[in-house]
Amino acid sequence: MKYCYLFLSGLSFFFYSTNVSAQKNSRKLVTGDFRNLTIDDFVKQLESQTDYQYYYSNKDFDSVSITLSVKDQPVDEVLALAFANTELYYAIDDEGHVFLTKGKLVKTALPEGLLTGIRSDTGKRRQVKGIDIVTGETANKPVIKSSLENKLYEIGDRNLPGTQENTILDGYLHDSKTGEPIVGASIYIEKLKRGTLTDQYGYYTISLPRGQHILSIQSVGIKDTRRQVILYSDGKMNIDVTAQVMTLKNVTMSAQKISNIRSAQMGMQKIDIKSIKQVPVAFGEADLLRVVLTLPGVKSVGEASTGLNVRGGSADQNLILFNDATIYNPAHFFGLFSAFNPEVVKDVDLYKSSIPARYGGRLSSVIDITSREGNKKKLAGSAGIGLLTSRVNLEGPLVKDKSSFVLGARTTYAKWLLNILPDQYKNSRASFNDFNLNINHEINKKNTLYLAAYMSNDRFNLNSDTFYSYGNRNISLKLKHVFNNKMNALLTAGYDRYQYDISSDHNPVNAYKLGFDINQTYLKAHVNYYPTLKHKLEFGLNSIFYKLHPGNYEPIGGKSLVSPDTVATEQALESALYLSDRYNISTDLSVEAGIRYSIFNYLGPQNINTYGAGIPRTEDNMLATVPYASGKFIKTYGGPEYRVSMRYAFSDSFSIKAGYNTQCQYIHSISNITSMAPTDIWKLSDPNIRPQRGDQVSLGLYKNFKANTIETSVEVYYKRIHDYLDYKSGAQLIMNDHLETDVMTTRGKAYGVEVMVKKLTGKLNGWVSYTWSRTLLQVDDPLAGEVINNGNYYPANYDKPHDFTFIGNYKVSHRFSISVNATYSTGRPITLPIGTYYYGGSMRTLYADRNAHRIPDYFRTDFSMNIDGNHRVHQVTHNSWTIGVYNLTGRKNPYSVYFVSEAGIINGYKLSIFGSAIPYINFNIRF
Amino acid sequence: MKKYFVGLLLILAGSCKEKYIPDFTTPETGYLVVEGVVNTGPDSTYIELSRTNKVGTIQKQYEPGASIQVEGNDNSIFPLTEISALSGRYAAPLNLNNTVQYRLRIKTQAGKEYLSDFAEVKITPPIDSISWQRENNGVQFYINTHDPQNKTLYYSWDYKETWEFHSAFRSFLKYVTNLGPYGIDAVGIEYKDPATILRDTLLYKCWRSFASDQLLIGSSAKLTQDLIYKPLLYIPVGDRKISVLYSVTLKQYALTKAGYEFLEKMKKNTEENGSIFDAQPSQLKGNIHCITNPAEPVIGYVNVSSVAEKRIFISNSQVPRWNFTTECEEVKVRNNPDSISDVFRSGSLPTDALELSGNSIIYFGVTTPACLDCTLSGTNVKPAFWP
Repeated sequence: MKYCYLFLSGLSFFFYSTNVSAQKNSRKLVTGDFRNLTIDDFVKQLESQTDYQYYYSNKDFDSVSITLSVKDQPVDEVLALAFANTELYYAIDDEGHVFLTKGKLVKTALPEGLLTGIRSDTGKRRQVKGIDIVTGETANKPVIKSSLENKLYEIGDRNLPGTQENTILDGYLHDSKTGEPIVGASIYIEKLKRGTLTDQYGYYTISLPRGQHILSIQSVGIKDTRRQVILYSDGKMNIDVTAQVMTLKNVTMSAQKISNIRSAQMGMQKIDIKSIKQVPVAFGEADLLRVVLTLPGVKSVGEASTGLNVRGGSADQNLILFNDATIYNPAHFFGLFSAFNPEVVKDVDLYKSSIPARYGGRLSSVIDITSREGNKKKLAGSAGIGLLTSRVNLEGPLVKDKSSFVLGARTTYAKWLLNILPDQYKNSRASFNDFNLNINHEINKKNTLYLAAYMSNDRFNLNSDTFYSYGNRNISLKLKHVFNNKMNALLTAGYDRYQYDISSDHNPVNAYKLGFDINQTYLKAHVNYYPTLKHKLEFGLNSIFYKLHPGNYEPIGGKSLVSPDTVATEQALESALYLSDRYNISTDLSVEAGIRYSIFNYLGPQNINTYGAGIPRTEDNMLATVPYASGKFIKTYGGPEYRVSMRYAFSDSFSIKAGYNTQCQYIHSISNITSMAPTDIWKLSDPNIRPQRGDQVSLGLYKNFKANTIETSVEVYYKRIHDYLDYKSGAQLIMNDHLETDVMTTRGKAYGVEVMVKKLTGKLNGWVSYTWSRTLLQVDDPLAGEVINNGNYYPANYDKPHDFTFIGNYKVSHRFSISVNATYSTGRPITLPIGTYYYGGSMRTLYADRNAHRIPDYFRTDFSMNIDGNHRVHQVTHNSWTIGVYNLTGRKNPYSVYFVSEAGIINGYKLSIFGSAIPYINFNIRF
Repeated sequence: MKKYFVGLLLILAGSCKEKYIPDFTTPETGYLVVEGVVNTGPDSTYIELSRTNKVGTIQKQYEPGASIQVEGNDNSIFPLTEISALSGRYAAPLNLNNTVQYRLRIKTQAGKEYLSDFAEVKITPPIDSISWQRENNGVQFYINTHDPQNKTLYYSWDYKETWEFHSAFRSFLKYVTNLGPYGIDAVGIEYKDPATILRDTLLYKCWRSFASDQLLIGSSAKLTQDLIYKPLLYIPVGDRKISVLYSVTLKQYALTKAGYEFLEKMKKNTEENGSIFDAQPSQLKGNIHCITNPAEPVIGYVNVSSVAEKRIFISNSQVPRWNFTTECEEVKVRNNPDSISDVFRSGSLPTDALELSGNSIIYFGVTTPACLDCTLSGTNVKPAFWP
């Protein structure tokens, strides 16, 4: 690569002079009698008579002497005469720049990518290194694509009067190869300490002062890149970026990391599918939720559950969004695997602390999963045979460069897996499949339409003749409309359904089928507005209409005597209005404040049980059942939810962030099972069951070292939960039309410290995190009629105080890398017997306090080696090997410890889901 | 972009469920455990008192010397007496009035007093039948019962199995022993009863019994009729239980809803935990309270009901291809003192003569005691109900 120096003496003029004369075009003619003028004097004369700017090198012209007499000649004629029969050349571009050179003509219309320039050693006015000037565009001109870092993009109309101090730059980031949008990429202006992220459509918008800026563009999975712009007025710039390809030389990462120091978000993590695929997992099936589980503050009760417990929240307190659709059960296969096809997923955002005001309805976290957009350039496909699933993916343009689709399907044949699982799974059967369809269509520059559909199905039986099946069904349609580059809006409508049924026909007399489903229809309107440089406003409206069929019990087969029973359908409307503003008070201080006002209406028709005031809610104390007519507003809950966060940067490498937010949740999952089961009951708040409320205050310190290549952070949080539902001893949860008698409200408190050291660049990269946290619950329901643990605080099922995770990747060479995970956590609490007794011909265990003991600590190490074939980009196939061992030490990590009465005596058991080291080999071919 | 993904996997899986006793200490709870049904019929009511114990204690700790009485809400009182001194089991035939509610009052030797809630009398319908059928390489027994008045709804059962079985070999011979220099030694063999050569049934024919140790409960509350069809027990093919004649007797009790839920919770806590999706253990609360110290937990639920009983028999001939076999072998031994001494000292027992020369035994058989002596695993006293 050759470096050229371009002498841009006039650049400073672009910066500081905003009042270029409007009569420029009329002042083109030159008159004068020039005798033995130096180039400087000659140019002065010309400048005084015309509006052109002149660029030249003193060195090249130091021996030039000009003698010329002209009258009302155009500049080009004057220059032609002056330079006739010399080695000197001139060039004039459209913008009125005149380039004077020696020996070589300047091309004023530069072909893209061609580096030309005029050598200059002494800059007369201002010298800028390594910059090409490229004709920019205004907001009205067609958008042209740019792909090079060392070009200067002029954006906006230079000739607009300089009344506008701030300009808005917007546009899309696309993958240069596939045309797919780059989601969540950060665009950052180091000097201003200001940045933005692309949204899920790859769209960004940022408010900047007029002038020259360097945009640093970074995202996981793309090459770090920069764009240099000169902003005159509002304008558009679409940026194509290249996906990260392994290079044969050491990758030198930019030191200008958009670090955790700068982002206003706190407690937010983004992982893209490439990182997800790097982490060794059981059986080598890339698993999104398993990787989320390695993040600090996220726990689960064990390997048999994908139920996430984020900062002390229960599994139902996570809003899991898959392209705007709410996924009620994100698990396949007894909860061992997550239900998201890794070939379709693009990335996942986890919000565990400051949850943006646009999200609501769950207490502890938002997990926002985005799927890929299809290849807009050509039809492509992939077919795969994995260890657990086989899958087909097809993607391609519907209208080239305008619309594309992705279709993905997976199915399992994992019968063999059951044989290596514990006895609990023997004689079990399981199968699952899932389907994805995403279509996006660019109607015009201002309107883009997105369609997303998802379906999952699971069917299994667990060592019995009872069959379980469950599935998600989701479809959404979304319109993105760009009003102007200060405002854009999203309008989404969709339908989500989660259903399960349980059936058993082994005993013909009792053969039954139990059905349950949740349906929600929703409408979301969201507006992003950038009124000024310092503000970013978001506001919108969400509305969800719920319809739950909490239980339909019916006979199957002619001999069945099961009497059909239906728990009354529940319906409700949850609406929310929100407004949030991110205000950059100064470059060091920014505040984001949001308010969300949510309202929940429990609607008829419904029969509501009433109970005597102040006495325990039991069946005996039930006074009456009051019927309500269809559409009647039976009960309304609502209130404001506050979302506040601030960031103060002490220096480029040290900042402090604080946040406070409150949440409200109107739909509850009630379970007496440790893990998140597919058959958990979901219940809407009603006159007898209040919504859950929670708030969290958090504080974080962020310090980067070694030119931002090592990020460290400490976050502290304290969280309160009110009216969380727990079950009473021996609760009947299924087919219960007075569920309020079997549950009680508890209050919870969760607090902890999360420490993280992260190194994302270099041969050795990865992160180490340590979390200390507690989650304690306490029954505070005066109407429960019973208390757990005498009304004292007791640890939640997922209370694991110490949690340590190491994720490391070492690139031995460009084609060989090693990944190691290690994770340690305190064993989860369990209820152990306090004694034994004899009853019914057998010795039995006696239980009292809940969760007073713990299972042994959890420790696991995984190891994998990635061996790539050669890296020639242009070859038919690319292959790679992954060899790994899950649970390298073979430690039998207990999932549970339990006692069971067998043949008259009590036996204690320890159950491990993966009781040994599990090696795996994957061979991948792409072409 | 096309992609192929081919995966291979090597599995070296080990056992994932293993016996495990966590290291934890439990308090000396010593809570009172009350088990038994107040039988309204002419048969005796049995109430058994015991105490909860520390985890790891095997011995059942009975509560002897208490005084127990059944009290009606018509102020009737029926005392129970301890079956034998310090046995912890108390009994009396009661013949109660179905229209009265009853409760149990217990005074322990230590002076503590316990009282149950009044419970209505539940009338247990008769058992329709115990049916059985060959399925899945075994015999599955079912409970069939119904209440034409649709009033029972909640049931519990217990059962007792009894089976006749025979030794693999008959025992006609016995050792002739004397006291030698190294202790007792066998010097010869002889017929146990040389006169008749009668078969010795004392070691050959035995009976064994087994009482249910799992809680057996059922409900028809979700059915259109009060009808129960429920698996009772399963005997795999080849099991010794049906090698000759097998019998099971089933007792049926009607429960209140709360009484049913108590047993259901106990069953979930103690028999049905351990699976991935099973409910967590929970506290067990019955209908008996300590009056002296209301905070003291009491284990048990007093049900007041009549009792229905049914017995069936199955003989080996009713289950063709039962394929009952034993591991027993007979070893042929020459009738001389050295050989006899050897087999005697090996612990084997003589069976029968295998080769005779006139009246004298040339060869005889020996086998292990378990193959010859059924009393090692049963009783040779024929039960009264046995045909």
